[in-house]
Amino acid sequence: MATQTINTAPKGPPTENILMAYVDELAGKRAGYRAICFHLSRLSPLHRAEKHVQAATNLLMEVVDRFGGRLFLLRGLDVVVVCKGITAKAIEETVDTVRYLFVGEELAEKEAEGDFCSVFDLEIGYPQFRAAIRRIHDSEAKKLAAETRPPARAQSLHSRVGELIDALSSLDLSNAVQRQTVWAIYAGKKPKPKFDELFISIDRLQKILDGEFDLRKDKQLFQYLTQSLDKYLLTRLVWEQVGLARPVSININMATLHTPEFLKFENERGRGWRGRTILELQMADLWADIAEYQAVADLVKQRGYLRCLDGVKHQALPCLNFEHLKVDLVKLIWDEAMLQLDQSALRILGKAIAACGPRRIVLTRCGRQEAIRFGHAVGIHLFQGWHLDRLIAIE
Amino acid sequence: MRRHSVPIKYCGAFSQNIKDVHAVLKRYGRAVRGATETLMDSAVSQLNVLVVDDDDSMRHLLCRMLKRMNAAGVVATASGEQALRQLESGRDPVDIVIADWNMPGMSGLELFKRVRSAKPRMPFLLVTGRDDAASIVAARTTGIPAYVVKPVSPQELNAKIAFLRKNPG
Repeated sequence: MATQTINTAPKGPPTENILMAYVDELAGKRAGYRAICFHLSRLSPLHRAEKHVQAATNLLMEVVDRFGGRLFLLRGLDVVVVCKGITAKAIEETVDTVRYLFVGEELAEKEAEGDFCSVFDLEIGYPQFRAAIRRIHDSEAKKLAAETRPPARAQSLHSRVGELIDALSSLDLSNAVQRQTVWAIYAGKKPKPKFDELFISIDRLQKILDGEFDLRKDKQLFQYLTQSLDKYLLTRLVWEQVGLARPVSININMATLHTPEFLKFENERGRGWRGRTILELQMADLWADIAEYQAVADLVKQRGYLRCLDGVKHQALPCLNFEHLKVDLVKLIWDEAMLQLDQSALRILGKAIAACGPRRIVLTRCGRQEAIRFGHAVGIHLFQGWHLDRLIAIE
Repeated sequence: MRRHSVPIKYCGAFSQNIKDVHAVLKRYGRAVRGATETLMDSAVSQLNVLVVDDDDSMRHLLCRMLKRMNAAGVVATASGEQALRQLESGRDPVDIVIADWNMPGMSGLELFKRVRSAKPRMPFLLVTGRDDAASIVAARTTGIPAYVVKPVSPQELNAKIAFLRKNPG
């Protein structure tokens, strides 16, 4: 089990977190890197309109593309650009062009360094750059915390979550990690394993916690924990021990995709691994924020991951447009009630399965043979569940 | 397989009295109008402005804004060619030119070059929908002293004109 600890610093907004993680990553490879921080947050409200920020980022993206750098648009509208090999002349040119957009604004006309923008040569000024980014991060984290402070009723739950996370950080959770295979089953053929889902079992976690917290009783506490558990899977699990014979799927909260832990996971796993990783996004997350879901679906696709929509009930399947939802796989929950569906309901379900593409649907929680029979009857050939695991283990 | 449901979201003070909201908006409106009127007098008053835009609605909007900002005179033309004729005729005095970039015939950039070859210190403001890097860089390298991305607010117009009065380019 790896020994690194999860960062416990106050969490800022997503981009600030990613920037902070990126800055930390740069600590060991500062040579040739230069950064410009445009303090657009200090401009008058007149010049903080979306069109100004858009024009400024358009300009800076051109520089980022030219020098293979990175751009971060922060919550307060400051823009940070980090490039390797950017010349002093190019920096001066860039700063002057951005200033040009804001002529008429007193701050942009000030020539003094640090008012409108700050430039850092990371080879010598890394500590100052890190401190500046840390200040922005912490200030935004404070603002975010003030804006999203939970109501008094939830405070006690939060403190319990805090205690629980503390307890977990000192434990080896590798025993709580379970693996369940998704099988391709065709009539008359031997089942073929397609990929393994890795997840943290609530029952095993309960055993490890040894009665200190009752997760079975307090589902809300467990829900709050899921992000921490995601991060555990991403950063502390020794993936080599898990084995990578087959592609792997992991459950992930959408919010986790914006965390430094995900960035770290991405960097450490490498590009070749991504095509073999399926990210299971929850149906509940989709309902909670469909716009965010679609943005995340695009993001993970761009990065080479496969996307699976998990937790779809048979009643919901006909209501979803899977092309629009941009998923590669769908996990349909097996429900005994599916055996009671009348002909018209079966027709509707069959149509929905055909529209999604039967090869993209996994029937999950298959607890008995009827589930497999039902799946085959409606054209499904991918299955997951303890019944299968038992059956295949016996064979 | 997953073990959580919808993340709990906290929505802010939803139940604020609607009357309070209206009162705040009224106060805000008065404050903005007050601030705008004070600002308006400082930059554009006593200036004669030539507005050049082939889009009727945009041209009328700019003219109305400038008149409300107490411009001494506002003349409008629908093309760069008409604008040049207007400047050459000397019929109406012009202290500043505000032009669109994309126009049939002579573009705003071309108009700028022609205006500057005749009147090298004429303040010139380019108003455009172009917010891409190449356009911004092109405008700057051509020497356009100030650049506004549409849509334009009176406050922004005022700020750019105030800048141009100090730095005609």
